[in-house]
Amino acid sequence: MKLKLLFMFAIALLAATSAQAQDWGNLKAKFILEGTAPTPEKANVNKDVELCLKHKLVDETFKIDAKSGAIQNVLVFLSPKPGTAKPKIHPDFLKAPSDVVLDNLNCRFTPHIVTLYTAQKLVIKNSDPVGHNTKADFFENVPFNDQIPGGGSITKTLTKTESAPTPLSCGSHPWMSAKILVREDPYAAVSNEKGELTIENIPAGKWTFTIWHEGCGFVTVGQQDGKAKEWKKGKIDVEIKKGDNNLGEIKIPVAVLTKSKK
Amino acid sequence: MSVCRNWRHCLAALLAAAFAGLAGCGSPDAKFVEYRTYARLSEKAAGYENGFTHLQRQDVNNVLAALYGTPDAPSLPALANVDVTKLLDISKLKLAAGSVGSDGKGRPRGLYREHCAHCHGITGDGNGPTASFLNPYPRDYRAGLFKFKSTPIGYRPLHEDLKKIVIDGIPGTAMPSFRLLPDQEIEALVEYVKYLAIRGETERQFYNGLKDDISESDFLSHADPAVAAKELADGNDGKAPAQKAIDEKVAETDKQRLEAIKGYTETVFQKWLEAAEFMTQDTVKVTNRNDAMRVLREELVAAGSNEKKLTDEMVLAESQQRGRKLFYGPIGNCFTCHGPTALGDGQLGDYDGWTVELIGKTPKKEDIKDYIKHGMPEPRNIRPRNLRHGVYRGGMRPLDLYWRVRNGIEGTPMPGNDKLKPQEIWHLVNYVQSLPYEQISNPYEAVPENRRERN
Repeated sequence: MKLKLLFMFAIALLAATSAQAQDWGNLKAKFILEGTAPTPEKANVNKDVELCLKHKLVDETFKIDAKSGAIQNVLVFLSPKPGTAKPKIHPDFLKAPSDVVLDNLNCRFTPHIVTLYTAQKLVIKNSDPVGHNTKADFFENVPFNDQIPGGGSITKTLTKTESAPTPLSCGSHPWMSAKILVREDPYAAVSNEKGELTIENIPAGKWTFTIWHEGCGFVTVGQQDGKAKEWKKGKIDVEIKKGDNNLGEIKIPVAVLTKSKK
Repeated sequence: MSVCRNWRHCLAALLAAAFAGLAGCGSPDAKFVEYRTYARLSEKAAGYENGFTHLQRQDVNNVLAALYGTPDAPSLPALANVDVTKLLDISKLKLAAGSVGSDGKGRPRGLYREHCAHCHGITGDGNGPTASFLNPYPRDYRAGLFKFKSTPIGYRPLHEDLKKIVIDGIPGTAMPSFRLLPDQEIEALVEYVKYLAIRGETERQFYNGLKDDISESDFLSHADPAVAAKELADGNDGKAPAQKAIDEKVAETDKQRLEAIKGYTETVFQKWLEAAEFMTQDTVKVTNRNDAMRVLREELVAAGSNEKKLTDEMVLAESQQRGRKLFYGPIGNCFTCHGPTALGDGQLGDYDGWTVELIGKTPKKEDIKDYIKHGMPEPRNIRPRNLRHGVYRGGMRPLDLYWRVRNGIEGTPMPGNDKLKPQEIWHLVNYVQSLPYEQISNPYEAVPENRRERN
């Protein structure tokens, strides 16, 4: 009897530890600009002028709220070191993942920065009356350059992790650009108009994340909750605990953010 | 002394000796050139203010030499998960490599340097001595991208595709036909081009890895003990780590790096092996043009045409008309770039993929200057083909045109189109082939009234 009890206790203990190994946490961050936001440059609209000119298109690299300094389209993604274990996938992500939709609308790509988990399909729509052709120069995945007639769409399956976002362009309309990050895990997010992002259901443990923005590539210098920080190649180490984990407010100087666009 | 019977013999012997000496120490061994433009792109993306160090680049070169040998003595890497001999034949490579000459039995050596290197360069970087005089520039193989092939964009070419280019040349460019070489020598050259492409792609993988994956210490093949020590100290509140801990960390990192190098190299070979697999699985097979014309004829008869009076010329004319509609229609959308009169003037400001990769679609002066310094040729705008000439770079067989429309052209703005049915692609091919003979416009007749008005 005693032995049986002890045995049951042991099993209960084992179950408890394995449950603990499957804790999941969320990562939150908020990105704010330090300095004056750059004025977006006007796009050089030289094709399909009667359709596209009226949309007053601009270069979309910097979408920054002039008042609060909130930086939209900052990308944070989990990036395990080469040769180390890949993260577990939370069961929620395995249930019939939704498609990632990228639209050609009003002579621009929308959204401008997208992330894709390889279990998802990429659907590229063309809601414009004119033809667009979308070109993706992947490094690991199979690149493509497909003609999409007005009202049409194409569907792509991508299978491999890309180490950085891949540029998307349109051969007919040179000003059009977007970026897509393809990862074999769902742990990536893009900041919204408030400069905030959340990556959900990351397995608990120590992980390395990458901070990236189109204007500078890897975000290497900034302030985290008032303290000056340096992140080599945009890499930041975070210990994910159960529940919410907050990186806090990350301030990026305007000189750093606009580095590659100067 | 017997050689020196008189002063003339003496002089000749001396000169001969001098030239023999010159040949021995005057020409250094051929070396592969570093992929500086791509390294530059990677170091900029990684945020290195001063670029990769000399030691980091030397490290990459050493690993490449260990995997692929030298221009005089090529070798192939041994990989656990990929059979490299399925793709490359070392005996053929040896025929193409080395300096120009022949062995004791009269078999040639150094075929690549004899026929290709003066334009494409020893490294296959498209930067041989004649390169800057040519328009278009010779192909840089190192991205693994080739324009004229049977596979779609994103897939490597097949062996036969490259062989066709070597045999036929590329009309409208400086690439000549090597049809007169024996098959064995053409085979050797094609193998060597693949070898140079694969070597270059591996170099790209390495620099790309250095750019973002590899972060503990920034060497491709090994860890830096000083960096390891600093990282251990950072993780332990600044306390200096024991030598043993450093050694362990270095050994662990070295092991990871070796795995990474193998992984990068395997990825490159897999891409080439996948291409053949894709072609056997491709669901949109090429149909025959004759079949397409037969189907169209049946369609026309069913719609009421007199079967006996319907000549082949009439069927072709109908096909060309349909092709014309597709050319200017939303699904074909060809006129957007090839222009309203197909003179190739619809899109003039774009660059090819090899250039856009480095400087983008709307390049800045500083970037152009920077990459030219690192070996990029002066950028030129890419022109959509003028379809009124009847000169087709990828070959003039109808099948070649079919592939261009269906698959697009790698490294250029020309997209593939899988919305067109095979039948419709043949209509487009028929129309494109008729373009050199189609009137661009109907010229106005001289109007006699004009003269009267002037008087």
